[in-house]
Amino acid sequence: MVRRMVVACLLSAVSALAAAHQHADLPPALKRTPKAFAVERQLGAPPHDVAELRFADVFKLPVGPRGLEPTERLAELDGRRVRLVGYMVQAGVDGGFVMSPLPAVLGDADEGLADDLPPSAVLVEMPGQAQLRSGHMSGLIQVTGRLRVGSAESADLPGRVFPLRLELDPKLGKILRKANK
Amino acid sequence: MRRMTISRLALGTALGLLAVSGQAATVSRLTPPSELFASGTPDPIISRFLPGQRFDLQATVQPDAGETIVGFQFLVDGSWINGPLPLGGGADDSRVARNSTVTETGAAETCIRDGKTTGAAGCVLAAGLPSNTAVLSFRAYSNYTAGVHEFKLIARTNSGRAINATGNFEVVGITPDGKQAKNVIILLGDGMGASHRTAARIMAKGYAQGKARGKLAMDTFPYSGQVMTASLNSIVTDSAPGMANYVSGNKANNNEEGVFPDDTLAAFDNPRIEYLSEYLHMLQGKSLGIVTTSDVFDATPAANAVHTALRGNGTGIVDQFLDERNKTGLTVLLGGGRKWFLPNAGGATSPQPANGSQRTGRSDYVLPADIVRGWDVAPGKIDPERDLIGDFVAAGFAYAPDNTGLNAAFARGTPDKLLGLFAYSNMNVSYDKIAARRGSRDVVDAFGFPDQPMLDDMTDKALKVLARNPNGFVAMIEGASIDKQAHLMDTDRWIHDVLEFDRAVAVAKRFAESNPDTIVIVTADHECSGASIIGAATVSAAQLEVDKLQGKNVVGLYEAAKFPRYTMAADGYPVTTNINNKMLIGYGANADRYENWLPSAFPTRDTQQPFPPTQSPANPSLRNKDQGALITGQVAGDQAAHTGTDIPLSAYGLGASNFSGTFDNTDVFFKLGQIAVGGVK
Repeated sequence: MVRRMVVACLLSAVSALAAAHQHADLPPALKRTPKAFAVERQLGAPPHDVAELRFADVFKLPVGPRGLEPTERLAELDGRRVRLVGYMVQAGVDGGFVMSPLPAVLGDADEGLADDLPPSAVLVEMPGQAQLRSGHMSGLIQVTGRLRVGSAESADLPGRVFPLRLELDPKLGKILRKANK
Repeated sequence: MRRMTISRLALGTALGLLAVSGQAATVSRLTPPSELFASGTPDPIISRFLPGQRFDLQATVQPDAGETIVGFQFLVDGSWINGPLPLGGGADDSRVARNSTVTETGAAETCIRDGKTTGAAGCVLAAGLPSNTAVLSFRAYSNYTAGVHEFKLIARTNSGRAINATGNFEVVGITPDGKQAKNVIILLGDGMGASHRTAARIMAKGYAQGKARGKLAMDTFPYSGQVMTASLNSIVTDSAPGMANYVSGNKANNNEEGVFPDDTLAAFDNPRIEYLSEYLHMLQGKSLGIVTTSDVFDATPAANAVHTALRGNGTGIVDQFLDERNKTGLTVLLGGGRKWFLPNAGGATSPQPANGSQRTGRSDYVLPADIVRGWDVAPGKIDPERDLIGDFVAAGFAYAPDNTGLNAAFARGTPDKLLGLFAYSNMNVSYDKIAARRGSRDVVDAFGFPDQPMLDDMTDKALKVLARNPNGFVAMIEGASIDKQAHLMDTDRWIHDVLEFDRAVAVAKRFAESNPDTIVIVTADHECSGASIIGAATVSAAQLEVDKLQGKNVVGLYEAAKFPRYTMAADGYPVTTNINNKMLIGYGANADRYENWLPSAFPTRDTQQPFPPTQSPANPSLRNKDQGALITGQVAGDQAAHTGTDIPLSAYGLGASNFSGTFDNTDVFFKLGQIAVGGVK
C-alpha cells in the first residue's frame, strides 16, 4: 500500500511538472553579457587557485558502448574551484543555468528530453540567487565556481540528470543578478 | 490510489435492480470518445477499431454532493460487458480483474480544496473535479462485429441513483479480398510537408526549363494521397498523436501516444488502444522494427509500441519497449537515446559513477492491476538502477553501440534481434554526419559519438533482421530531424535530412521490389514550420557573405529565381548547400529570426579557444543577430511551430492503390489492416 502511494506520488509529480509543449518561461536575453562572463578574446591562464575544466575533461571520448565514463581529470577536480568556458543553454532555470560545449536550446515545443544537448553539459547553480532566472547570455561565456561531481537535477528541468554541477562564485552570482535588473 | 471494486460491483448489481431512472448526466468523460456523447449527434464517428482490436472503456463520473459511486455497468448494444456479477467464473473471472474504480485517495489537506480536487503532486485525480469523482474502467475490451455500436455507462450511487451516459464507436470490417501483405513499412519524415519534399528534389536533382531532372525515391511511388493530420484536441498535432493516429486508428490528444485522455494524474494508466504492431503480432505473429534518427524514446518511435499520456517519460517508455516486446513483437530498435538505457544507482552522493544515465524514478512506470490483467502485460517497476542494455542483450538482442558495431553484428550472419543506440539522445543530423565523413569531425566528436550510421544503413540492417520472420513485420522508419531542424528554421540541415530520409526510402523500395508482398508508405506526422520555397537568391554566395543584412532585397521571385543548381557529391549529398543563387526558404509559422540566407555553422574550434560570439549561434533568434535582417514571426518563443496543413503520402507495393484521395490519418490504419489481414486483389 505504502509502496503504491509512493509510486503514485512519483508519477503524479512528473505529470504535474513535465509537459512537452510548454515554452519555458524565458526572460529576455541580456542586452550585453557582463564583462565577467564574456569571452571576446583568447583567455589567459586562470588564477592560481582556479583550475581549468574543459568539456573534453568530463567524459572519456568517444563515449563507450555502455555509457559515459568520467575522466581521471574530472575526479581530480571534484570539489575544487574551476573555470569553464562554453555556451549558456537557452533554458528557463531558476537559480542557475546550463552550460554546453556547443550552442543548444532546451524547452523545445516538440522535443522534450529528446534533444541535441551534448552529454557533458553542466548544471551551473547560483548559491544565494535561488529566485534568479537569468536572461540568456549569447556567445561564448566563462564561469568560475566550485565543481561538484555527481548526479544533479533542477526542478525546472524535470527528468534531466546532469553528471556534475558547478556552484558559481557568489561574486559572479551578484554580477548576474545586477545584469538582470 | 486504484482500488478494485468486485464487492461494490456486486452491490451495484443488486442496487441496480432497484435503481430509479437516470438522473441528469454528471458523466464528464466517456471513453472511447464519441460525438454522440460530446454533443448528442451521432456523426462523425470518432472512435473506430478493427475487428478484435482491443481498447479500454472508461468514464469519469461526478455524482451529486455527498454521494459516491458504488457500482457501474458498461453496455454495448444493450449487453452488459463487464458483468453481470457474480460472473460465471466467480471471483476469478478475468473480467472482474479488468474493472477498476479510481477516486481521490490522496491526503485531503493537499488534494481537496473547496470541494474540488487540486491535482497537486501526490494526488490521484486531475484538478478541478468534485471531490467525490470516480474514474471507472474496464480494460482490454474488443468487438468483432462490424458496424456502429452504442456504448452506454450506468453508474450507481450509494443512494441508488443511476447516472447514465451514451456514446458510440465503430468496428470497421475487414473483407477477405485476395493476397495479404506480409510486410508493412511505414517511412515517416517527421514534419515533412510538401515544401520539404520539393526543396529536397530541387537540391538533389535540379530543374531544367521547368522540368525536374530526376525524382526523389519517394516521388517514384505510383500512388499518392493527401492526409489530414489533426489530433483529438487540436487542428495542429504534435508528433505523439501524429504517429499514433496512423497505427491505432484513433485520435489521441497532443503529448499522448497509444492512449485516450483521462482524468487521473498518472501517465501510464490511461485507456489504451491496441497498436497495429500489437494487433498484427497477436493475429499473425509479425515482428516490429523501429528505426529513427532521434532518441528512441521520442514521440514518433514510442507511438508504435508504448502507451503513455506523457511523451516525456523516458525511463518508462524505454522500459516498456522491452517489457511488452512479447505483445508488440519488437525485434529491432535503432536510434539514439543511450542515456535512458544506462543504470542509475540513484542518489546524489558525490562522487559517484557519472555514466550519464538519465533514468529516474519520476519518469518510470508501474501499471495498475486492471491493465496488467486485462492486457496481460508486465506490471513495470520503478527501477532507475536497471541496466536496460543488459536486459535487452539477455533477451536475445545483439547490441550495436556505433556503425562499426552495427556492421560487426552481421559479421556472423543476420542476428535474430537488434538493438542499436548510436547517440546519447538524438543522433547528429545528416549535415553533420556527412561533414564528419568528409573530414570535418568537430560536431560529432564534440557529442562523443563519432561513428554514427546513416539512416539508409540502419534501414538496410533493420529490414535484414525483420525479414527473418516468416510471418512478416511492421517497420517504422523515421527521419526525425527534418522536424527538429525545421523547428530551428535551419534550412540547410532539414533539407539535408530529407535527402538522408529519401535514401532510406530507396532502401525500402528495393526491399519491396524483391519482396512483392510488401506495402510501403512514405508520409509525415504533420508539417513543421510552414516552410515555403519562396524563390532563390539573386546574388552569389560570396555576396551573401559580404553583406548579411540584405534580407528580402536578395530574394528573387518568380522568373528571377531561375533554377538553382546544386552539385551532388559521390556520397549522394550536395558538395555544399551554399551555392550561388541558392534556393531560399521562407517560414509561415516562424518565430522572430535574423536571416542572412547562409548556412548556420556550428563552431568548429575547441570551445577553450574563443572566437567571436557571432560565430556561436545560441538559437535561431540570436543565431545571426547583427548579421542578418530581422524577420518578425507570428509565433512566440524561439522556434517555428507545427502547422495544421495536410501532408502528402506516397505508397508503393501490394495494396498501394488504396492510398489515393484525401483521407484522415486514422484511415491509414484501416487501409493497412485491410491490406495485411483481409488482403487485396
